[in-house]
Amino acid sequence: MVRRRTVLATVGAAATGALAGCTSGCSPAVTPSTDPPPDDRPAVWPQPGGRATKTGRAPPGAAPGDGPDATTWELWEYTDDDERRGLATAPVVADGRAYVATGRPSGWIDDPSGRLFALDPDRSDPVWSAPLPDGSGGAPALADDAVLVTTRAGDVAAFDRASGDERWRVDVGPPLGTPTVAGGHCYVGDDTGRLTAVDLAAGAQCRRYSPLATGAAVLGSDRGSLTAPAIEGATAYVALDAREADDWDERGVRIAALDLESGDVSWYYDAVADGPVRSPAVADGVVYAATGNALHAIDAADGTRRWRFATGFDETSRPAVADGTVYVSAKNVYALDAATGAERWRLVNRAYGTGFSAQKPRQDAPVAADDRVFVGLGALDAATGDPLWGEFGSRTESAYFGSLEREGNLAPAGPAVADGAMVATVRMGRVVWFS
Amino acid sequence: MVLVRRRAYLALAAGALAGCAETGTLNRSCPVDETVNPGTAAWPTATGDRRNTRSVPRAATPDPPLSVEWTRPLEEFMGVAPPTVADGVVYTTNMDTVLHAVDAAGGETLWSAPIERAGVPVVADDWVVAATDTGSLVAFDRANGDRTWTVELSAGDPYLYAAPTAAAGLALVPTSLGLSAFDLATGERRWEYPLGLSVGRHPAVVEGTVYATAGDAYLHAVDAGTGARVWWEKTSGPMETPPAVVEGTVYAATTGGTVLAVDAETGAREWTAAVDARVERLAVDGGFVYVGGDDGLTAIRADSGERCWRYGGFDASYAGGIAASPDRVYVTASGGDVGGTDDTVVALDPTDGGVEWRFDSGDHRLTSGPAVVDGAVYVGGVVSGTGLATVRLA
Repeated sequence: MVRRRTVLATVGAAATGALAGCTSGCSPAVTPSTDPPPDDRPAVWPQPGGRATKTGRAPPGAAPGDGPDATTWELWEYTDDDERRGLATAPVVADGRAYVATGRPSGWIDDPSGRLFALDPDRSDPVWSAPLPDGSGGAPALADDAVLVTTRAGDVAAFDRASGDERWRVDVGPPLGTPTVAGGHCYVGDDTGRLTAVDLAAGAQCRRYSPLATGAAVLGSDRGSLTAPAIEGATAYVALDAREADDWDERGVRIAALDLESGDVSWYYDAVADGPVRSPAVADGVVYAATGNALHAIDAADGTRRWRFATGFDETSRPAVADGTVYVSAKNVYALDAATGAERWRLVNRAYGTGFSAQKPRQDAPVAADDRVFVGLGALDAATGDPLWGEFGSRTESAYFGSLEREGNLAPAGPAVADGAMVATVRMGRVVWFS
Repeated sequence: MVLVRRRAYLALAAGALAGCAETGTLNRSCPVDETVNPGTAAWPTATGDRRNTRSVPRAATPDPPLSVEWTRPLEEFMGVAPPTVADGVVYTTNMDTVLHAVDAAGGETLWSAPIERAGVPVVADDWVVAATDTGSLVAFDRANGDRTWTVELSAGDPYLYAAPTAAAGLALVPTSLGLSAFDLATGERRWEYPLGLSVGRHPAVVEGTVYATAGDAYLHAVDAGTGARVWWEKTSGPMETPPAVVEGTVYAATTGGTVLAVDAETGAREWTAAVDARVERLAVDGGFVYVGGDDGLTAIRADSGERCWRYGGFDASYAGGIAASPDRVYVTASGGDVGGTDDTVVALDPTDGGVEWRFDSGDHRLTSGPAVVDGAVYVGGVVSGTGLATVRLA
């Protein structure tokens, strides 16, 4: 706790300077637009959830066939002994390479260092890696020929995808989350509940939103962390979590629809969480938000509740949405009717127990593609939930999962599905490429 | 022995906050419907009967004041399971090494049998069944205490196993992954109802249908013969408290304090109510649904879901509970209503929750039960000078 406050104070001072320098450095006008539809880009999975809407849907032809071969990297083998090993993030994929960061806090290291890795399935060692001394803020994101990563020191940094050379870095301020890329900008939330847009062409801080300025009263907290926004058109859907660090107590959560042009919030939706809050997803006029123990379906137009599905488990994933069905992990994997929230099938996860036991609950966001649901380290039949290949549950059934309950699980932001491959990250530094 | 869980902390914290606002707003009398008195002559499970009503027939409800008729020492130190009663015999365990069968009238031990860390002994037909927190299910012959069969349960959280139901020729065992059914006579596994999440304690069984709460936030109706789902009703959150079935309606509660009534045949929702506390016990009698946790006991009208009164002294502890009749409601209490700290038994007026009588427990701490059968109240706890014991009050 002491360390965290120290970091905040230091960063706060730096942020003032960055802010002053920024206003002249980039255009104040943000002209958002959604990135091209995924059907045009089957070889690219540029950010967690696939695209700015975070719907977890891959275009036809992007997914691997059943029974793929696996290539595995152990990223911690490529870190120096003096690095404080942090957990690994979800992957992104473009043109035959995967990009993964390490340096996320774990139960035993709260201030890890990390690296950004480029991985090629034809090579056993990373193509390149770049140090992130302050650890990563979340999964990387791809924008043209750059790979973007945020840091817990408050930077957004861009690296050349081919060489790994750092191109630019902007100090945004407080510790940052996973970026969402849309319309030539990178949108990133921070742990004071603000959203910052960075103009990727200018490589400088551009605009700061405070969609949740009134959050303190609602959330019972004067701070909160903002998850990666879901962006569709000119609207960003953001989830503010009142969580302090590892505090998993019951607490307030606020979902906001933020107009990126005006900065106005068109609606708020309030909920209660007793587990981690995931980034929202938006599909077919509905915003989906996982708040620990439940998945909420919210009308994107007016913020009213369509339905709420209590999962009964305190870690619920961001969903994938495809063809009127919502797929979500919460220990089990569920398929829900998108219109009603009614359960269509579930993959029963027979892992059991708590703590240092064999339990490996699913909490990673699924990806829907080619009548398959990609989750865990395998694929399910999207119509029935029957396993087609791979592994989904416990230590007893798989050597892939780590030995600890949560850290040994998959990265919550889920796999990348592109280029005939599924790429998944086990948080203890293991990346598996199935193709 | 008290299982400390994170959710319990959360609910307690939330309840404490809400309780302040509630003071003075929930203290009105409601009429008792004497025609709703589903209790049976025995108390074969911790929840009174296989429908989990915790209801006592009016004629079997004793009039206070009551005094101690006998005390049966149980030895060891772990705890006392809620006593169960059938055909003039009281069954209980010391949650450690021994299952006791005690004569209800005189308190003499009829037989005792070794069992490792057992929970509540439940009675059906010729057998008494108990599950252990080491992961086995054991059936004993009620006549002599001989062990009839033992099955090792599949892996999971064994604490949950300690709350089975014996009915319809089955021993039904909630596990951390679903519901398991075994033949009551042979121990042969009949079916599995897999959920991937836990099933709540003591499923109810009525006319061939099993009603079970579950951690997956559904109330489940399952065919007792096949294990096939009849219907399920989604709720607002996980459920652990046994559901009760009375006159074609299933009453259940989420741990977060949502109380619901649904049609037993279809699962259609009849009403939904909310209480401001974690719910750990539920009873149905006299036109009321009683829901209680460590923050108190709330009486809700069974026909509408309207809240009537709240008794703050109720204490479920780890094995306390409710025994309700239209004339009075016996509950375990922590003494909060009189400022004391004793764990004892009180009799409440069902119309307004007023304390009609309170057992002066002295240095005793009575925390398990009550079972109310044939004019007597059976409770367990720590008796001064004796240790763990089962007590008959009449």
